[in-house]
Amino acid sequence: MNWTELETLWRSPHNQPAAPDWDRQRRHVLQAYLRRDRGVRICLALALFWLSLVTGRLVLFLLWPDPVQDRINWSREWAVVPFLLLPWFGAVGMAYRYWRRRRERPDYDRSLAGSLRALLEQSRDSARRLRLMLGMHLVGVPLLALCLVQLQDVGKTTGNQLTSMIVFMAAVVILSVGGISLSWRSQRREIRRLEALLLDYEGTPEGR
Amino acid sequence: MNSTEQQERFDDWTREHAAILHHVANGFAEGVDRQDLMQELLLAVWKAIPAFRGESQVTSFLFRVTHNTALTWRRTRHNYQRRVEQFEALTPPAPTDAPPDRSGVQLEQLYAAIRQLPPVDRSLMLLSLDGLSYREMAGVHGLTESNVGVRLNRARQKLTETLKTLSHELD
Repeated sequence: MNWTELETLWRSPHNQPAAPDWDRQRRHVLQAYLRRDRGVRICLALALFWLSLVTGRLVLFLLWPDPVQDRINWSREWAVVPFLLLPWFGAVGMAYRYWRRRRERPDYDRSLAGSLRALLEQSRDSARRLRLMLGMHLVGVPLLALCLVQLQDVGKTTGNQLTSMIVFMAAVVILSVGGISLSWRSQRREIRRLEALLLDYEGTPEGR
Repeated sequence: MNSTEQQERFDDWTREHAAILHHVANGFAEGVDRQDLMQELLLAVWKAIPAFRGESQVTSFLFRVTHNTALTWRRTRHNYQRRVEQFEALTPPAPTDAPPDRSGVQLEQLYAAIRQLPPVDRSLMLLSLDGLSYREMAGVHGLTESNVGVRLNRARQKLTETLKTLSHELD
């Protein structure tokens, strides 16, 4: 096959998608994406709603404690307040990331090489954020332990309850650290792949 | 731009310029990966529509969007199998009793050869076959025209050798 034949083949009807199938496929992709996006918004809204309920209840304790029902000794049970801030950081962070991902798109006025550089920077930022999230566990785990100790000190948990809570929380922490570590490794692989692609551009004498 | 306008533009662009997405998807992926990449290309076009300011032609814009997506594409892990199966269900199976179409076989060989090129050369080859000038390709990639020429000549030689090998294997 010579080059002219290749170009003729390239422009032939064989190299076009069949119209009815194509229409169905592209509509399906868009509808599935819009459905998933709606699902994410609903999950985020529900998470923020429940977190607000719990936080609201705690604020009521703080502002209008019932001397009979709401027996909180703040000098010995204060750890629950900073511990409750952690899920708020997570929820707000997730909502912000969702909002930013919806708005951000590659700058298509830039060249592909420029877009790759920008994407590489974003990937490096993501890897740094994941390391930060891992680091937050170093703060969260001692706070959690302190909450449990304080609960036991004021007599609000029995030995068995405390053991169950420790086992449950340990499982959550292990899963969380495991998940973040996997994401971080995946991000590192992506960074190496993008660096190799950029080298292909910039390694040539006149590439820029 | 509201959602209805975005939807209309998406319908128009993906109908009129289906070939651009088709060529990129086939040039960068094969088999079930092709379905995954095609979905990413369609979503990239949808998300890029609000960014189109009308300063360039729609085709130029779509070349940038699709080649950017293809170069940075990695197989979507989340629900990969389910998404691919749903997408494949919308494509009718090829008739098995029909004799092999010579043009179809040659086209498959051509795409197989293109996929063996390094990613940037692959993108340049697809743009060249789609009729872009060296200047346009240089603008898309951020390379000089002479660099585009050098890379394309090298890619064409490699493509020709690969096609000869593939033809012999089939004969």
